[in-house]
Amino acid sequence: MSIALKELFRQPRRFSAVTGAMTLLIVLLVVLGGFLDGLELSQTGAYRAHDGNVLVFDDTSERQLQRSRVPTTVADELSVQPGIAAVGSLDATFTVAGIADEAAGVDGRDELEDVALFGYDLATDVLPEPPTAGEAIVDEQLRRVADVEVGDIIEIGPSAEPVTIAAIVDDLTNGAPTVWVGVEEWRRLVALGNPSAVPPEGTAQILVVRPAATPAEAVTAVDGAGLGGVEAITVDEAIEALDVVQQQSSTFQGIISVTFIVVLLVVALFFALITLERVGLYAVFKALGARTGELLLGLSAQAVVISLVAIAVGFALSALFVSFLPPELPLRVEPARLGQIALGTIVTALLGSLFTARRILRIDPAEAIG
Amino acid sequence: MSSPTASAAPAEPASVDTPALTMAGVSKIYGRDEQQVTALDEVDLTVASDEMVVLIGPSGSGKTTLLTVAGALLRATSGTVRVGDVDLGDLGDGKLSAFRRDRIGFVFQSVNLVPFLTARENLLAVRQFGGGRIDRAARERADQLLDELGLADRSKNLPSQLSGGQKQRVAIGRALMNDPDLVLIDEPTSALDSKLGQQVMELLHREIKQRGVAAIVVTHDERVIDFGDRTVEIVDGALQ
Repeated sequence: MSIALKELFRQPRRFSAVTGAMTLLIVLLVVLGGFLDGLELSQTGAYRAHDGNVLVFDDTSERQLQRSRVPTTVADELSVQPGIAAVGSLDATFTVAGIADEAAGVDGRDELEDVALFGYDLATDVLPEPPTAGEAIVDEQLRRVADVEVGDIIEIGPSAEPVTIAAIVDDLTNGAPTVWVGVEEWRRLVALGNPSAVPPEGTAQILVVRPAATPAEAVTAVDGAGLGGVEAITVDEAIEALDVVQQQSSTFQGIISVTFIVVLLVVALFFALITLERVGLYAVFKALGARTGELLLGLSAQAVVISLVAIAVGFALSALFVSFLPPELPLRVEPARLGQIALGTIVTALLGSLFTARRILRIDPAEAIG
Repeated sequence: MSSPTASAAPAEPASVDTPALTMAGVSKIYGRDEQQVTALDEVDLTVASDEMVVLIGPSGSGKTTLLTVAGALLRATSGTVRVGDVDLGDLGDGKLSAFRRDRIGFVFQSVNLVPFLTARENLLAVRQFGGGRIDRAARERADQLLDELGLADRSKNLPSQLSGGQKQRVAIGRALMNDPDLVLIDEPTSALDSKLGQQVMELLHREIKQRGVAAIVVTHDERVIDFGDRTVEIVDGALQ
């Protein structure tokens, strides 16, 4: 193996083409993964704000928040079940928001911003206790696009109902920047702009269940309550059920998978060519006592080192590339995604390097003579 | 990690009385049926433990095949090949690799040094194969060999920085690195001019004789004949 590494470090130009190709493919993987994560995260902020909780949907809603209607009496019954610490409502609608002070305008453009307006009961790790009537919590994304601060007044809905920003939380983009108010305030604001969008009295779109221990136990507790007509699922399950997430995920995963196949082919082709070049050298190695496994181990070591260099350079180039992209593009570079790309690249390169195993196995040490 | 001599065959070299190489009734046939080619035909050859045999013959006579069979690179179709006290027919492929590494030294016609390793590393490389480790003794052995071969000041040079004669000397050092019982040398002077060829053969003869190692030198060069204890001619696969 050390002989193979010496070759790599002493003849780096020989490996520069494959390293360069892999680097570019890694940049592509990072950007694709970034778009996948960015798109998914930008559609699921409301759910992610309730991570660790359990969501209760109408069992005919196909786990879609807008279609779901759950009686609030269910919340009362669930709240006394063991394994459940608290239950609250969660309602959502899409509307517009603008800055009350016309001189400031919205983002300097004097325009309205599309927002997702949520009504909620329970504080989470991300969301504080619901604000009082006339106040709202906005997320980082709205702060960015509308240049608002705590204490500013924004106008919600077509009736331009003023609310004061009480707090700004992390980016919870859910198809649009989010505005969070108490459930009663939400019903009031929605009723002013679009009365038909308000769920009937005594119903919520979905319920949020805060587990006493784990989400799995809370799901069991809801199922065991025997209420009928509702379905309790985890936040991850709710995200997976979103059509837009499924479509985006399957599309991008397909492209990412194809890119990994290209990495595999690039590495396999490179090592196939380099093995052809080295047939004479490998015959000498075998004649001198090297085993086929040792030669393959050397190739694998080279593949891993090439991958590591390509990953390091590829990540650095990706960071540079992403910094030049317009900020409104839904691209998020997540550490977990980078880890997946790094691991996937190393494994793929290892597999690619082993494609030559059969060829190396068949090299006859007698070729070293004559 | 095992020591280089541990895995294939008895670590002890053959005694002085045991021939370094015994080939008895050895044939090597390539192809089948009408395509058959007999490269070696009932060859009987014994090389004493400190003997240097020069093998001559026209092109296609079977010199190289004899070398590859004696060197455990090819298996004989029939007959017995013994290197020291080991019958090569008793060894599986894995053990045959280890046997070559530990008991046989090769000097290839085209030298075949590893281009990205220095002269010293080319010698040490043979110790690494088969899971061996480069220890202090190995490094000292390599340095000693390079010194004896007049390459002490070239030990850190890559093959591309060495002359043809120097490369040949590194190849000789590599063949002797694991203290083999038998050294097989293929056309050692074919790529060298007459003066350099003479020098290399003198060096080779000295190193082989100093160590009491057996050697077979395959050559077309008549000047090489003088360096052997015995000359054997092969024609159409049969020793004359």
